[in-house]
Amino acid sequence: MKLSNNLLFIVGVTLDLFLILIISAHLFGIFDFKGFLTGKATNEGHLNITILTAININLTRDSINWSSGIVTPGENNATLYTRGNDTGVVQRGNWTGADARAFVIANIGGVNCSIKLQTGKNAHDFFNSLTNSNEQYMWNVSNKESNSCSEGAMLGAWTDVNKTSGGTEFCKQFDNHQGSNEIYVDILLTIPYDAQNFGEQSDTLTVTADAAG
Amino acid sequence: MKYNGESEGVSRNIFNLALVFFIFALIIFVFSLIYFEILGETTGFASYGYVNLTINTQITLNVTNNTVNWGAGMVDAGLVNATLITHGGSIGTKTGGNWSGTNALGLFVENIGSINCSLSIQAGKSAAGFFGGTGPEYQWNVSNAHANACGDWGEPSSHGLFANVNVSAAAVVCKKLDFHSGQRGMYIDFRLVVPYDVNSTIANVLQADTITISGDTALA
Repeated sequence: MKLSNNLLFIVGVTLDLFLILIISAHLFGIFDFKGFLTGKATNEGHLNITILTAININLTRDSINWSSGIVTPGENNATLYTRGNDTGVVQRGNWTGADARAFVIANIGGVNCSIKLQTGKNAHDFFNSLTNSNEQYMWNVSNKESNSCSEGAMLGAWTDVNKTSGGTEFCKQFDNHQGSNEIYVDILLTIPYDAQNFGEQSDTLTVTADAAG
Repeated sequence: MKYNGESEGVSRNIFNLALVFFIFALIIFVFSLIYFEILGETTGFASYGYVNLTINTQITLNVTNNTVNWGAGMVDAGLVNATLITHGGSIGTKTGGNWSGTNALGLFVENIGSINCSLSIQAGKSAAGFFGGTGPEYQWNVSNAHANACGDWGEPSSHGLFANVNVSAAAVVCKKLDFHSGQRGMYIDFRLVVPYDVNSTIANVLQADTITISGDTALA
């Protein structure tokens, strides 16, 4: 009888411990099988691109044509000059400025650049004055769109052209953004009465773009 | 005799106490088994056999085509931007630039798990962060590669229509992506508008973004 009591006691205590185990398992969610059912997946995709930039300029207007004319008799010279988008001005001569408007250079590249200008001739090369006087060949660079050109030779002033190799740098920073990427190059000619070069005369303006300074 | 009688009384008390604990524990034990569905429903005295089996389900996403590669190119001179678009399994197209779309196919995502899931995507960069410059755009468009793959669309803007990528938080683009073979694939296409004036720190250097694609419990 005593042995049976002890056995029952042991069995009872064992079941009590089992009960505690079950309750603990319940409290800690061990039987919560739903927690195992779904995972979460993460993966990756990739997008790659390289954007190249290039210096690219465009002479939107690349020709100035004064056509034919003479120095007004009795005058030492005639002066012809362009003025941006307006027709050219003729003084003391009978050339026409209808097709004489400034060169227009646009930076259509993907980056700012610098600009250098160089002519093929100087004034004397152009006209060959007998007295080597009354002849001028000048340029004047200005912004067609504000803030297009900065940090270079003087803007908005007439200066003698430069035919030496390398030319003259006018813009160290020629902007490429729409609305601020165009400049004028106006040209002034003073034609002497004693020019020895007759007939059609021409010159070539070389525009060189390089990395911004 | 008295000693023996006291000993017998103590033993009886212990026995009674153990018996009470035993009955109580037994009741709790049986109810616990029923509660946790270990025994199943009570069935009286009918004789049944049970086969117990647990099948775990799993969400697994496979990004079969995981890279959109446009390579190197530039905006055509004089234009303010170039537009690059992927077209699912077809090669990408471009306007206003000279990139190659040969390796620019839409990302292809498949739910190869054993349960429907939701699909969320998140980009690492915004358009401005990707390109800088004037008017950049970085958009995506999620569509079915397999018919009826997505049973319940998420963000309407991402369903057949390009919309700006989400950077700050993942966008749930499909609430229920099917897992059955032949009906579980989706495309993530991209539309890039590359400005002509990208930031100098970005130009001429490989630019990359990572799209995080997550699958979670289906929402529908």
